[in-house]
Amino acid sequence: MLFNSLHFLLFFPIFCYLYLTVAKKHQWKILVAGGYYFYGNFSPFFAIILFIITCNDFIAGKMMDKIQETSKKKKWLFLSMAGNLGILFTFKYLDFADNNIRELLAIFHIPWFVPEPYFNNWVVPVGVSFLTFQSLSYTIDVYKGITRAEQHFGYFASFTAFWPVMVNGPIERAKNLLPQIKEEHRFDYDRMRQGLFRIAWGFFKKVVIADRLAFYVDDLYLHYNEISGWTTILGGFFFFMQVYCDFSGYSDIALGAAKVIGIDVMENFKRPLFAKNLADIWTRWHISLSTWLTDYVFFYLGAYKASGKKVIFNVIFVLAICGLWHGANWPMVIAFTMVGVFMAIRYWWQANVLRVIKPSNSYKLFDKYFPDWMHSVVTVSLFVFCFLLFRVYTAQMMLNAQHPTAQVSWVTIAKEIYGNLFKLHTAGYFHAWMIHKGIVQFIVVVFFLIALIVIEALIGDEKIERVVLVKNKTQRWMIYIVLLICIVWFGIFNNTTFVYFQY
Amino acid sequence: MFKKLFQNKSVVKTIRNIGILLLILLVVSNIVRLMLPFYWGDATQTVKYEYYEKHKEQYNAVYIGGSLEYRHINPRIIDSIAQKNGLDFHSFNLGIDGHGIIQEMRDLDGLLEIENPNLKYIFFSISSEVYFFKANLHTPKWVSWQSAPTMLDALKILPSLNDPLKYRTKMGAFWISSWVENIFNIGTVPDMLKFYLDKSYLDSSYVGKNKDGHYPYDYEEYHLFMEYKWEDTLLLESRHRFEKGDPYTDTMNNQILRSFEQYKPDTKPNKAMVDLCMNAYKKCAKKGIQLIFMLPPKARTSYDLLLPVFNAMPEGTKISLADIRKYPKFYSIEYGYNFHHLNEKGANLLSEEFAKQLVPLLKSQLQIN
Repeated sequence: MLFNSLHFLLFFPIFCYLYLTVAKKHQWKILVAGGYYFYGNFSPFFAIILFIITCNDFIAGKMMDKIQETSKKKKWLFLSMAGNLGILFTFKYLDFADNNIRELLAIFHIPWFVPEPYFNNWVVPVGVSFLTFQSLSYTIDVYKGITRAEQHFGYFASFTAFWPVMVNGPIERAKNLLPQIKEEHRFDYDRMRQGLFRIAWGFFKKVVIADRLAFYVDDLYLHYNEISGWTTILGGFFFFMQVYCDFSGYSDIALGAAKVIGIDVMENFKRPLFAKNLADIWTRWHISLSTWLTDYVFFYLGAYKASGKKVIFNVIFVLAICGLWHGANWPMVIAFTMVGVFMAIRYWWQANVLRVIKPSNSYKLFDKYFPDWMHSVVTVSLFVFCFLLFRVYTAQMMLNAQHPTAQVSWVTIAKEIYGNLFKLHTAGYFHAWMIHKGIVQFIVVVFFLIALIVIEALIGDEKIERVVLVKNKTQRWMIYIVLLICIVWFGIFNNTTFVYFQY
Repeated sequence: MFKKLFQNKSVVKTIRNIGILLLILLVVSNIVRLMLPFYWGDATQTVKYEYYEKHKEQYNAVYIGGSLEYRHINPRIIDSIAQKNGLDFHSFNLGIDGHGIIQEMRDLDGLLEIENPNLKYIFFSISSEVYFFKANLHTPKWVSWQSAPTMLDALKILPSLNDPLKYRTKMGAFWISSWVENIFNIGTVPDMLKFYLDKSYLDSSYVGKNKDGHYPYDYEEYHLFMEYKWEDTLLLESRHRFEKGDPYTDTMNNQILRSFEQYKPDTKPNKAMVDLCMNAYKKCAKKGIQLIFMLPPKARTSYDLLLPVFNAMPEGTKISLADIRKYPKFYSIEYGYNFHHLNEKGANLLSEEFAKQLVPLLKSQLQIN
């Protein structure tokens, strides 16, 4: 079920009514039923996958709790990991692995026994990466002793089937979610107001900004050989903002929906546009994934405690994993690895050069005249530069499906896009944008983008619903009305899916 | 449980506040829409109606309908034949692609609001029921003209159709949701702004080569400027299939033949559709305008449904060109553009045949008056 669908508009109030009125002992049942209905609505098969993941991790957690011996505990942990990662690998990475093995063997003229394309048509369960990572964090935490194993299957099933975050994050941790699930939740006017406002804000970002930007972003990749110079730069920024508004919009709706039913979920975005460096951007962008990778991969590798070279490797490696999590294709892996390389360069610069030059007067002068907003511009520009690769693979699939006789490789698309990017004396295809989409559409989308940036600058890192709800009644109502009008009048409502659904 | 919930003051307050917000939105949305003409959402219709409004005094007759009228009826041919027969007849084609019977009613209401003292005849096509292309949903072209009466008209007709209940229910839901989209301006304001601020998207060729509102599909193909790209693709594909002698042509023609052969004068017409057409007839009569019903050839809707409705209309107000036994050429590949449309040659032939029926009909009316 999509958040931006009529189905959800009916589902949500019915769910809230049932959940907030039944006796405490039955509330988990409503959560589980709601979760399986929500997820099974995509396909009943997905609900079966969810059930398997739940059983696997519940049993592993319970066994680890019983056993004191670390080696035996480890076996259960591996079993849980094998289950989760096995599902993830089977549905998401098998085709990618198959293709790569085939291509590698072809170099040596060795035939590969799997017929082509064999795994290509396997349906990837929606949000499987989120589901498995959330569930996996539970067993790792139980193994490490951070969380006690849940003894009640119903509560654990509510945790894995917690529908607001199930398919698109934030990737919640058991230690935060499980205790809240066990509490009694009743209708609370203040929470309801906050939650509903947050949902509306999420919808604004999704249907007004992200879906309107999609017009231009689609063109950026479909007309990759015509778009150049400033149009590529603008298109790249539009793409960055599209993904940000789409994904953070989903997170806002998830947070708001959870808030309405009395549960606080972790924040997933904190104004990434205002990040001052690439390391900072990861504390603001998809926070639940970056903290997951930091906690379970980066720290496992030794984090910053290792030697200089090892740290550089760790940073790049974690970002490459992050890329692989986002998509089973090389452009995605390379995009994130590039971010990792930039981050590693920054680390090296800070460790070896900045330490030396920081006390000097010239550096102080530079620091004085290079304000925060310029740091943000450079950071976002670097991020956008890497991000251009993010959608190359999807574009390749789309183009090849449209023109089966003229197949194009992702390398060609990437080469063209990056090659055209630096033709700064041109703005290829901009005129076509204006003709095809109309100047009014362009003005509308730019207006809302600027409005979003200004609002984010004004509210700072505070939660938007808190900023709004402390205002006086007249101001509050004005904000409600304007927000509602913007969503309803300027939104796009033809059931477009969320970009991150595929992960 | 409901009682318990509504005893909670906070719940009531939340629901009340949401209600107030929606009410404000509804009022503001309707105020904004009042500033727009009813045809604003459709580029073709805007061009044609704006042209008609500017030159309305030149015309005493207009044709309302869908593509079967827009692409087939050539006012220049009809006018010249009528004038040769001593009739004062100057017509304009206001047919718009995709308009079915419900939208024709909306067009008629809009047309009657445009003051034209010279207007004597309106030709109204009976060629569809209340189904529509799903691809039109959520587009301003579809949403912009919806109103409570049109939605209710559609909902009245739906139960009496013979299609499966599930399909009709789904269609009913679409009609309701389209109306809701209209009253709240859901997603349509950027297009409204475009209508006001940037008219560059309007293409005056929609008025036709002769500036009479007629534009055969043959020209459309060279231009390929339809509002939505899928329409262009559909158009070309349908022509290729038709010209290759796709068996669907025979199936369709056989069905039409069977409808006409098996028709019995005592067949009960669809009451909701008859009422709708008669309402239109009375509305026009009140304004001193004669409404004449047309039954065009090659309709998508079954003639089993259309023929009884058409025949239930008052005598002396009907022009039928659909009978495959009388007009086999309209159903041939030579005169066709695709399964449901004629090419220019076919359109010209149809216009001549139309005029042949029109002249005696108008003459007899003049004698009565």
